[in-house]
Amino acid sequence: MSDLYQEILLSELKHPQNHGELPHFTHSSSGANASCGDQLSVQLLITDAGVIENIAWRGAGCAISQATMSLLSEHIKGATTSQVQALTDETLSELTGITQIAITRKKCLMLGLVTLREALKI
Amino acid sequence: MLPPAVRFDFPILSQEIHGRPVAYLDNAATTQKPQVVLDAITQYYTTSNANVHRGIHALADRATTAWEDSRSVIAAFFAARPDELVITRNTTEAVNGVRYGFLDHTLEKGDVVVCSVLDHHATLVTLQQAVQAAGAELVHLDVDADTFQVDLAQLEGVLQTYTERVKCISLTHTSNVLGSMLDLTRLDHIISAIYAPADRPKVLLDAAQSAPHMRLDFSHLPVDFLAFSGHKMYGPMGSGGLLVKQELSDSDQMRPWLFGGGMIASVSPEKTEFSPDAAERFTAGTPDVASAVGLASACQYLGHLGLDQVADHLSELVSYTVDRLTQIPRVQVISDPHSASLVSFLYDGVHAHDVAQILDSQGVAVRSGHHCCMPLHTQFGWQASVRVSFAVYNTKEDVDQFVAGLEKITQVFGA
Repeated sequence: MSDLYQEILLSELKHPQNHGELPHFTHSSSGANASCGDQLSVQLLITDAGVIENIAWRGAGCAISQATMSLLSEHIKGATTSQVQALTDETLSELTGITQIAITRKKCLMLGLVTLREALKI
Repeated sequence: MLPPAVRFDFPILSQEIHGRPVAYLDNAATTQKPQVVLDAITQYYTTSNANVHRGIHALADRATTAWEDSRSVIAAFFAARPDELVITRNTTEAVNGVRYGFLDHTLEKGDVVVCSVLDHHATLVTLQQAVQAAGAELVHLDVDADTFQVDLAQLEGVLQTYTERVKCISLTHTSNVLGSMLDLTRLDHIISAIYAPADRPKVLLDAAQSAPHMRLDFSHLPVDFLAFSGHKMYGPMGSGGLLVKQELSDSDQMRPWLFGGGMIASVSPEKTEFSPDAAERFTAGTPDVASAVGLASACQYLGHLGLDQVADHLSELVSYTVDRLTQIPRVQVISDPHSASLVSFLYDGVHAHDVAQILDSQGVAVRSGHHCCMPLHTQFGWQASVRVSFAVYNTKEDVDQFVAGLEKITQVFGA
């Protein structure tokens, strides 16, 4: 439990990074966890060279889903789309410090990455 | 209150979770199982297992007797006849039985099925499929935010408007989120005032949340179908049932929806005569005898405790919990304060899943989310809620542990 609600996540929750909407964006998607109601929507501005120039997101849900999205949004700024596609569960663990999560909460941790991947498909 | 020693009937509760005694408050999802139920299942498999109704040997006789006796005990628990009981895996499967066994060949284009906004997805989703297949219409009764009650005045209007087009009224006896109880007497008066006895729409009652703590006399209830989950009333997982009034199950209005062995009278290469016995006709294939044995044992266990005593026990725990929660400024109770068995609430500024996670770290098991009631949550603007629900083994100490666990939320998330 202490692993889940560390200072880093609680701080993200209070001061989410890249929260809001972009005036111009090239890619977007929305994701939700049906069983708990976590919701995220992301907007991405991606250059012709495939670099993520800017990102914004909005959402509602548990601390894990929202704080992870915040950390992830800052992490992928300036990355290429192929670098984002290559992100794994381990990346999320490194970003959040969450090394162990119950099977029922895994989807909360993953929602941001799943939503980002959806946006890149378009 | 029931004696605290009831807790010792449930071996799973003797363990610690995260270093604390487990306070299991997720009973509306499923209850724990007493030792007598576990023993009954083991006893069946160690002494009596064989296939039912088929073998001419001693073990087949014992298995068949165990199956028939269990069916009788479960039916009697609901004051129903054994041939009015169809054993299912849960309430959902029971409701699907109403869809496939009744609605699918009853509904015609333009017909109406009535349900309510507070219904569990088990009924709502199933009814949606039925009306979509038939080109019929599903009408949702509203829920009053102050009384937590389904709007039966609205039902009156719907029945007067659509009259003979209404083929089924499906309502929830006790809401699994609000805890409010349907007024069946008023429902019956409304229907009786509009329809002659032979023309009444069929009534399906979702009794998943009332059966565990309420004496339900199916023979006198003004309903045609009653669906329940055995696993929510101390029986094994994968046990439940559908009660169907005998005059309905014996008529062509109710037809088998599962086909195969055991439900037949005679079979030729071209066609099959179904069994004239409803108890057989609606049970295709080898039944789960051990689950039925376990559920019968659970019914007897509840009978020994006494349903009135069980209801008083749960009611006192609800009152105690509501009193404690109303003293916490950030908590908003959203369920009926006079609910029979549960309390739902929101915690200001903290998502329900985070509340549940922190309570889990304190050894307290609660439910968080939309509780399979998305339309209700949407209507009231709740993204998710937390629910504590009680069973015979819960005590005020469990509630104290839960309330103490809530204080941990402020420590983690700040005031």
